Amino acid sequence: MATSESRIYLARMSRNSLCMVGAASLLLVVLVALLAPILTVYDPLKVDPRSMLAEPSVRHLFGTDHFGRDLYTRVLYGTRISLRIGTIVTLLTGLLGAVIGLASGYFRRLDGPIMRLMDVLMAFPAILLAIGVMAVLGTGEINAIIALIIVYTPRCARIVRASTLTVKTREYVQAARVLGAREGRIILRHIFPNCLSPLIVQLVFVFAYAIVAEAALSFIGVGTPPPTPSLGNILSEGRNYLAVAPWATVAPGVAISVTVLALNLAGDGLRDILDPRMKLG
Amino acid sequence: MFRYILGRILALLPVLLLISVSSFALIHLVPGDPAVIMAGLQAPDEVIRQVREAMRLDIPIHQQVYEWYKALVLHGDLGHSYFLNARVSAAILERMPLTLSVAVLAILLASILGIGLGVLSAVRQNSGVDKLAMVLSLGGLSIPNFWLGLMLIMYFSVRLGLFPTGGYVPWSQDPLESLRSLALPTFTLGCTAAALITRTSRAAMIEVLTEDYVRTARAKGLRKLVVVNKHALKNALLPIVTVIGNTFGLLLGGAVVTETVFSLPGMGRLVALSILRRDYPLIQGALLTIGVLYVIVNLLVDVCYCLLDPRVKFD
Repeated sequence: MATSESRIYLARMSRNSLCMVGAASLLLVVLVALLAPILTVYDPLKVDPRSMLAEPSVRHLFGTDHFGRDLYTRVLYGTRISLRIGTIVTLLTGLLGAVIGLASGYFRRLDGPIMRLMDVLMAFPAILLAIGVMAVLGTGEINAIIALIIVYTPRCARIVRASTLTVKTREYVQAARVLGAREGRIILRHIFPNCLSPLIVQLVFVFAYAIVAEAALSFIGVGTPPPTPSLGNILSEGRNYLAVAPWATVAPGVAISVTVLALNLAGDGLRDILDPRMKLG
Repeated sequence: MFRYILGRILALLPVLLLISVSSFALIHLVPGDPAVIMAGLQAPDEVIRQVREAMRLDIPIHQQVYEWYKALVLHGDLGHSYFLNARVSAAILERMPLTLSVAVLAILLASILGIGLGVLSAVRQNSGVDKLAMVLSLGGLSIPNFWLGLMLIMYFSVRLGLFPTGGYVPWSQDPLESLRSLALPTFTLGCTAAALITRTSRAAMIEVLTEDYVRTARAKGLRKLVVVNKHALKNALLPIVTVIGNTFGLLLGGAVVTETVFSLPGMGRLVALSILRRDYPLIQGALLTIGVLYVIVNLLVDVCYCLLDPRVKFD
């Protein structure tokens, strides 16, 4: 990408206040997650029978859970795990989606079979497909990551395929072919860069979906297993003490919502910046 | 029109076939021996053998495929649940009405709220109402519905005592109590859907409102209400119907989590529990049922297109 072009995008970004708010909040969440060990004096797994279900106080900012574990600490570490899972899912989904989408859009013979397979994967509601995959693989964090990649890859592949189909008929691609460029080079140097904007926008939303979906899986008990803190399983444990210790469900939920809100704002903004035609209203 | 619908149904056959194949294949994709996993790793050989025979895993695969499809097509039979000691089809039929009624109520609520808010904010673009609607819909998209459900229980059930904290009262037993037990789950599930529908309705309306025929209608002196409802909304409905259809699938998925939050004995909880118990026949049956339902909803959306826009059937 030319420098002048990136400068245009940066200028558009700084004028889009919602996008800036989203990006700034996201940066804050990432920093908090990365610095978790410095930001707390407690161990997220340390059980303390003397202070079970303690109300929020100066010692325990968000209170404690039924094992006396500090909830502020657990939410910090839970956010760390959510972001880690979200990042891995997003990167691998982007990579797989790009490869599948480019192959499907460029090589006509692959298109039919690949897209039928994607149709079937998309014939199940996202969270149910994830659950189905978990049923096959068994519960756990790595399996949740695999399940979410399988769920979101078809959505990215479709978008890359659609852009590939339009881009490959452009003159500059034909020119490259006439000049004798090999197919690998045409795909990587001429087609892929022009499919990037819609893919990046989609990936920001995949990041958000992945965080919510992982929390949902952990909440119903098939995602990250306790005692490792994940935002979903902290919620699921807190749920049993809703009447006596409401703080145990408030904090992790706020953490998920803030993270996802930041991603949604950033995603909406990025879409306006990178792809003005898709602007909502 | 009839030919168009028939064409859509025929186009769905391969998808249905693939959905049923993937449901059947599910158990064979499990790494290791499914019979051992179902019976438990420490189970005695005798029990494992029994499970294997009960699940018909001991016969050759082509025979399994044949028997599975024969039972499914001729009798609508999805097999036997080892854990519930019941027919899978009976277990699903028993829980389906609850899940479907929550989903239908939620989509109704979401459509009314979403189209209403979306149209209002499109007509009054950049006004206070518009900004409020955008903030609400962004919130609806960002707050996970299972957490929203927990917060609603905390406030309306635990603190105010207005609704039960969970469980379900059947309609036939006590209609009023039944509605009370469905109110919070419906609202919870409807929120995300309403947010999506609001955003789509707003975008679609804004686009249509700049069209020439809308300006003409205004210019010839028609009242704004008539123009918005008759000229604009009707033409903006296509994308709105699409998003409502897609959202319905989202709700079927969301039911798994929401039913856990509200302890509702529906399909969603059944699926979640059967995964924890590794009750494969039930998982297969439930995924197949939901996949088919999803396909039917998509078909209905296609039919709606045809009713809304006569041009569609000629494409």
